[in-house]
Amino acid sequence: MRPQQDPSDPYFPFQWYLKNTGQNGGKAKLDLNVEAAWAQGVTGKNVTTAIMDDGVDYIHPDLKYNYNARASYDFSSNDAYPYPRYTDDWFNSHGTRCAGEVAAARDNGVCGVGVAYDSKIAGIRMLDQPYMTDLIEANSMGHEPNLIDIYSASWGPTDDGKTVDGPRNATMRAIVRGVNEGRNGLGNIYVWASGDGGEDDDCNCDGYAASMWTISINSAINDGQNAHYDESCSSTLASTFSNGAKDPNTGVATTDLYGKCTTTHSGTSAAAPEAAGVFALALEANPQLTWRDIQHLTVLTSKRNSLFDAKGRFHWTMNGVGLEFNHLFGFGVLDAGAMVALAKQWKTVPARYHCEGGTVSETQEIPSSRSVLLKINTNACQGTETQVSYLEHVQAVITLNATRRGDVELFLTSPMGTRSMILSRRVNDDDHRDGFAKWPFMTTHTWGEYPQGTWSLEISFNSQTPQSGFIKEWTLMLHGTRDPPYSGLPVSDPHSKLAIVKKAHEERNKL
Amino acid sequence: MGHISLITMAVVVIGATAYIPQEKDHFLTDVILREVVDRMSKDFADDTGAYLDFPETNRISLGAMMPGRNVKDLETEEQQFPVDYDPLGDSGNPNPSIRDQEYLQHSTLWGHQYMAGGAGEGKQRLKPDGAIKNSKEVKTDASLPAYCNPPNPCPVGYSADDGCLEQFENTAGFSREFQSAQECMCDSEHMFDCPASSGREIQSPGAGNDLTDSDLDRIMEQFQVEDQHRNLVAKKFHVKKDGNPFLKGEKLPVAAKKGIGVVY
Repeated sequence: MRPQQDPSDPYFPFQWYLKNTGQNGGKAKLDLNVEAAWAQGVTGKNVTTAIMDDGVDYIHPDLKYNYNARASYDFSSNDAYPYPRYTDDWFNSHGTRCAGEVAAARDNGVCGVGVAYDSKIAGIRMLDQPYMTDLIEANSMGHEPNLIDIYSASWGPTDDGKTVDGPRNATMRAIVRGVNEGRNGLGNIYVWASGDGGEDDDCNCDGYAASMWTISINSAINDGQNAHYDESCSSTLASTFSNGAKDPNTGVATTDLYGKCTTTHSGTSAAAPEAAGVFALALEANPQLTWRDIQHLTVLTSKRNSLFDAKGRFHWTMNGVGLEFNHLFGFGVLDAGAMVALAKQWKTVPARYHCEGGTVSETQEIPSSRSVLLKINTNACQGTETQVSYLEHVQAVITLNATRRGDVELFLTSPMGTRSMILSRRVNDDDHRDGFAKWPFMTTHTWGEYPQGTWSLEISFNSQTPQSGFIKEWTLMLHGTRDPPYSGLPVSDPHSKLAIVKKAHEERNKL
Repeated sequence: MGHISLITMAVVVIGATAYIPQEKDHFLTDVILREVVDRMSKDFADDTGAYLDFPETNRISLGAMMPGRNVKDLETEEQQFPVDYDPLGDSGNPNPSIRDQEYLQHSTLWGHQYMAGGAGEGKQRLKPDGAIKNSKEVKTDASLPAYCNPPNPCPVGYSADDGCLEQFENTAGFSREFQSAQECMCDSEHMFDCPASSGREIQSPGAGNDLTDSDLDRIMEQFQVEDQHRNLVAKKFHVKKDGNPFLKGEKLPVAAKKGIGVVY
């Protein structure tokens, strides 16, 4: 490790998410631990992150030399230059702010510093038209997939607590193609903000955040609490930081429009670019990492640190192979130093398979005051070509309707006893007509577990008034590897998560 | 083998230029690429046709062409690619377990999209000192008007030959002047000085109206959706106040405003 000085940029002291010294009431050392990554000589070189947003001020002195013009595009006005559109309220500053978090230059006397300050950002201007179409989204997410490594998105279906929506046809195909073929076959990394809908929303109803192919990122504030606007869902993989503390100076400091700087960037949309920056560091450390390697590294190196649920609802729980998770924060806060270190030693995980674990398709009534318990006993396609022995993502594809959709709660329990809340109550969702039609609820909580055995799905109403409904179909989709994913990796720290999971996998194989 | 490498080259060309005219693309998609798709169990070629070939012209036609294209795309796509879970493991897909390949699996979604994000979501403080609060914003594909285009300053290493602006000042004032010379819809959500007719206080009460299908009303409808939360409340609390003749009188100037912009 090389001894390092702090960046000299004037806003660096405000960037508590990079280096938390306890400023403004924060908790010291609760940060992204980027200095440990920088000290390993890793700063994001040769990695490009696309900011899919309202444009980027690529003339900004803190951004202009880190701007990848070739990989950029303006879909809102259909040209190659995604410079933001002026409005009197400076509304279109969001993309510029996100870009600065990823790749603001270091030691240049301007604003602060990016997580990956030697990486490049591409601007994809696609939020700034009065409408949104599938084509704009699809073209954005499929833009230059071999020039762009990481796509960062801070948008999605309305977080009104009653919308159930996701990528449409062309967009879905763009994402699938990105992970299958992007980055010359290694797969693009799609980073997604889990949403600002607060506790009344569930990001599993946001098909972008809930997708297996996006890494959905939630946010914590400077003392480790979840932010009050945080949405939670079982598809969240990890967390980074954003505003929300009482002290107004605890926003995210970054670049702003027209060459300016700000300290007030906010929301989970400020959290996603931080994650994109950390992944850019990991990709410089090991350019051969696949989209799945990045997810495995995230699971293995994220830290519980001192993250906690301000309301005491969601506790840290250990899954069947010893990985701690939290419904709000996924596997914890990203640790850039640890991720870079592990990325350098990483061996690409074995092939991934998809197994339909089973289906329950008899329609059953959901009573008002009692839960329905459905069970699927699966051998996880053992002995077939699609055998899954070590889990990555699990999806419960569910069709149901209810007199009040927002009052339905769903819990999925794995054979190893890990219980995921795959749908929480959404008080504002008064749908009584559409329900869910083959909606894929995803959980990351059973990562590394063995899928063989009995899975159960618990469906119930959480309601003050009598409700009724019908569960019509549940299909269990298991995604993961046949071979143990970490067997080729050296273990340097016996207390690391890698050591714990690897040991669990080895002991099982002895049986 | 030679055939396939030729196709690969063709695809590379598409990737490199990305927005070539449609005719070429159709030729590739329909004639040659389909053959390749039949041989390879990938959706590459089909995707190329599906979302890389939108016309260079402008946004309106981009949206207008969507319905027709979607139908065609869906048909060709479903022949080769599982849209839902059912074909997994079925005979419909001869090779259901391609190693390390992801499949398109999702519930079918209908109707218009409503998206939020960027500074339109949550509580944000705009301008460097956080002086301005953001307003919530939801975007939809329900209607398709267009805002002004921002300037395109030259990035580092680019010149006017690349179609960008060399003479540029990175200030709010420069962009404001640049955009004000254009003929486009005033963004009343975020501009303080739109012509009075398009101010949001006029659009908001327009909420509950059943609008007719003229172009003018389509633009109004868009604002309805952007304000959808407020409108839902408004409908409940202002029942029967709709049909307000004041509102009907106010729609015209929105169209007139387009004319006003030409003056510059």
